[in-house]
Amino acid sequence: MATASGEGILMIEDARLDSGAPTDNDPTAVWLRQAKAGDASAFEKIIVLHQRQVLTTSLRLLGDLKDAQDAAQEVFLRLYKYLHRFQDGREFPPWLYRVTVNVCRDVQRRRQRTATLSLDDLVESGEMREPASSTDLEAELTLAEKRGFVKEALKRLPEKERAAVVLRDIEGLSTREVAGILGSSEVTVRSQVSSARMKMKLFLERRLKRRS
Amino acid sequence: MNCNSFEESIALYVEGDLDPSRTKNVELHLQSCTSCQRFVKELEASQAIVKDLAAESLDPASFNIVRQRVMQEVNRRQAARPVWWRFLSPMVAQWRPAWGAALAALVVLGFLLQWQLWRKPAGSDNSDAPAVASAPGHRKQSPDTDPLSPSEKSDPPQPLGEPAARQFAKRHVSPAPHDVLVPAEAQPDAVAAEVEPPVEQGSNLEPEAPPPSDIAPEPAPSLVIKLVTDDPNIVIVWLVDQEVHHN
Repeated sequence: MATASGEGILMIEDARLDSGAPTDNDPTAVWLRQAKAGDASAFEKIIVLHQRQVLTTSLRLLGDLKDAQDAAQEVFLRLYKYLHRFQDGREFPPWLYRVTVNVCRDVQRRRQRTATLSLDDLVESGEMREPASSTDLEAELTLAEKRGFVKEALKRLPEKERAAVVLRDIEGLSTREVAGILGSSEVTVRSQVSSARMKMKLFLERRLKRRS
Repeated sequence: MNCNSFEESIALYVEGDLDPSRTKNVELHLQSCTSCQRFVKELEASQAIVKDLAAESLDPASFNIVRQRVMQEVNRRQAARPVWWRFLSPMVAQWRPAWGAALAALVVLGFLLQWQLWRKPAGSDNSDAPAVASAPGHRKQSPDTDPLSPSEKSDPPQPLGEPAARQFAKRHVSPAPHDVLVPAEAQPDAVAAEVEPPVEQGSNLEPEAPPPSDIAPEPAPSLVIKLVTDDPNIVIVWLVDQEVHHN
């Protein structure tokens, strides 16, 4: 898994060389064993390799970088605490996603950060039932605006729909993987994803109209 | 079926999340519904914006902050661990089920060995094993129970050593482990026989030999076995008739 930053990529390469880990597709398994044996540097390599997954997912689920950093820190500390429980041969990224989703849910509930007006409220009030414009959204919006609107829309989604759509559409996991991470059925995930996509479409169109 | 009922399916259809049969239904509907065709295009546009978020990169400093905070805490926790755990944890980390099975096998083997070692001295030691001694002249004549070596066969009859008595007891009586078998005629000397080990302890381990033929036949003795329990007030007396066979 690649990191978002060049520095991160360099560190991963360094870590691979330093550890003497086999150059197979899953160095995490080796580092996990070393970390279980008390090797802190191996644990740091795991962080470097998976920090993008944890921090960006946290950011999309929580909508705030500071909260996301706190959540990511908590995720890795939980990983360290329960390292001995992680069985060899088990897939690591889905497990890490599950911990991330759970931690973000805890953070959100602890901080009681609810959106002032949810997408559900907008839909029910009829504000989002306006006829869709034929405007090409991608052409009209700048990149920063688009991303800002998506983040805003994500914040307003119900918690479970947000988790489903982040994992499915942004992280690019399959419906089955999302269901496994969230502990739901695939049918439930499809329903949540479908609902979230329609709400986000309406939200983006509304934002575009307001802007223009 | 109206268009609203298709919206949910279309939201899945645009990302290929519909099963084949429902996909076919949607496609059939789309062929004749311009409103839903427009809905598909709009959804595809919004989905492109949503999925573009995946390409967003974060400032490397954001990752470094998290990593540094985590490692600071990890190092603090490691330093707080007891020294013995630092040595033990690599072994725990390398733990494999096969090793567990091997360890279990070793434990069982050790237990069996210990059990055998416990049993073996019990045959030549009267510390806590049943002790049987017969009175002088009451030596058992059966060849297979004579504990003496051939060189000692001509010695005058002596009280049977404890191992011989024990062998006898094993064949003829099954006393409780704490009981002590004492010949009646040996009283009170029987107590000494119970306490003192036989002089020729080493001979117990030598192979048994048939009795020398020059031993004069003796009348069949009767053996009195006393079971001395932990309670000194309780003594169980058992009279045993023996048959002596001479070749």
